[in-house]
Amino acid sequence: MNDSYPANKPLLVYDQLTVTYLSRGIRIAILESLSLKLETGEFLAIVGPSGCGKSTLLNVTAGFKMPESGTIRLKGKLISKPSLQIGFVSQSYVLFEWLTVEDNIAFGLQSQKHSKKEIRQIVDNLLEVIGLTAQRAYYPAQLSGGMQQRVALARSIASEPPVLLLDEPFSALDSETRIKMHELLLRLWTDHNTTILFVTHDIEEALILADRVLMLEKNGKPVSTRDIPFIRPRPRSIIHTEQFQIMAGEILSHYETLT
Amino acid sequence: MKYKAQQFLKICAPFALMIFFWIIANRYSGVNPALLPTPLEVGNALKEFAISGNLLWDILWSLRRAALGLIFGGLLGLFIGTITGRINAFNWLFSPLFNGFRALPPVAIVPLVIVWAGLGESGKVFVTTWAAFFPVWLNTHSGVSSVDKGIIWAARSLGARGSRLLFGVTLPAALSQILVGFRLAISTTLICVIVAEMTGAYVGLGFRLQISYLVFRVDRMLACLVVLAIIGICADRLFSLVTTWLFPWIKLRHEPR
Repeated sequence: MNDSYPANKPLLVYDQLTVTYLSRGIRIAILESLSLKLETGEFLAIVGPSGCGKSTLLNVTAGFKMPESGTIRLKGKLISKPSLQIGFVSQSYVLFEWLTVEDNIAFGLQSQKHSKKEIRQIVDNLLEVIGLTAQRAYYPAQLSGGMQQRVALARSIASEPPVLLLDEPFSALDSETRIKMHELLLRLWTDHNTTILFVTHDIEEALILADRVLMLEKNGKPVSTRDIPFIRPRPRSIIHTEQFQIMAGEILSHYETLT
Repeated sequence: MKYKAQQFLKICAPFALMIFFWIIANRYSGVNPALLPTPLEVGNALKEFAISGNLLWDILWSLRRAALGLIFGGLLGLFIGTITGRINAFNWLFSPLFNGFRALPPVAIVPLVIVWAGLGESGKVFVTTWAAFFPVWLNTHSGVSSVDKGIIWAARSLGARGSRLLFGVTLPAALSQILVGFRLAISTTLICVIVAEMTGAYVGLGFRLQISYLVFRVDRMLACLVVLAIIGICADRLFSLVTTWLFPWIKLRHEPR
């Protein structure tokens, strides 16, 4: 990106973040005093039992919701509203069904000062990467779930956001499609040097994809992170290694004791 | 080709059956033939009606009144529905009022409109505008106010705001419901145009129906009804053809992949 934020400082900084919601007139904390730093190009997976505030964390990061207290800073600037700096892909592929595949991908680019030629070039390139060049003029309703999610990914990454938030993006897909989506995501991640926050309830998915796992506890109580030591590229066969199984077991037992 | 012929037959058969029973009723029921003319007589009345040139003018005037109402009422409904659907203060202020008016059968305002505006064109267009407004307003309002939050979030995180968010995302996302409103508006304006013309006009299908009634020409009355039915069907078909052509994605959504 063309600004002068020093590369050695963390890209995304959460400081004492607390998020609450109102339930029958009572404020209930869904995230409590979360502090966290993410480096440029880091891949963080977020796991935890349902209701632990995983999705809330992403919604606040995206600027859709405001925190009760504490701050989130991207490159030193406070996040206060949604912007092209932060891409977002959710579980339900919310594509714009009135736009074709290519217009969906171009949507974010059209919000910026890009020439038609530039947009065309970026879209062509992404269509190639997601393997949907032949379906560029299709409407979302004509695509399978996996294809739609590929378009959603391409759409969010087209304008090169420094941060990409993924909220259980592949949980509605079958396992074969999901493996392909993992490969695609990792490729986009390395190509674009994006910082990714990836919410999942699937620990294997977290361990295969991420550099680090953030474990949230029910009602957002203190959290812990763990580095994932496996060397990239990670073949899927590592699932069967002892080290992988032990780590998965540890994380699972960590949040099983909490529920 | 064979399939098309089959489809054609499927549509025609019920009508053929109806005409068959109609003829039977004429012949054997002993009903006064002045009350129930034969299909042939109705056909002749229709022919006479067409040759005299009245048919064309009546259709054009009725359609003109309906179309003007549809345009004014539709645009107004679209505009106000978007505002009440998006801005809470306007919703509180206007929605109860409109819901009250909406509960009124639109034809019930006809006598009042005649008293206020006389028998001229403006009164008739007022009635059709009134009739078209409410279904379009209601459906636009509910379509716009219930757009999936995820869609809006996705658009905002892709940098859309202001008019692009409204015209590029909110309205297209609500479009299929807005079109339902227009479709309902077409049928209600047709109802209202006929009632308005029956109660006072010098041209139009409703007027023709009324004067045929005054001179007790049942064949002509039935001829008018046939024309009205055809107009109703054509308007609905045309609307669905035009919207599918303009917005091909709406239909796709309802088809299984």
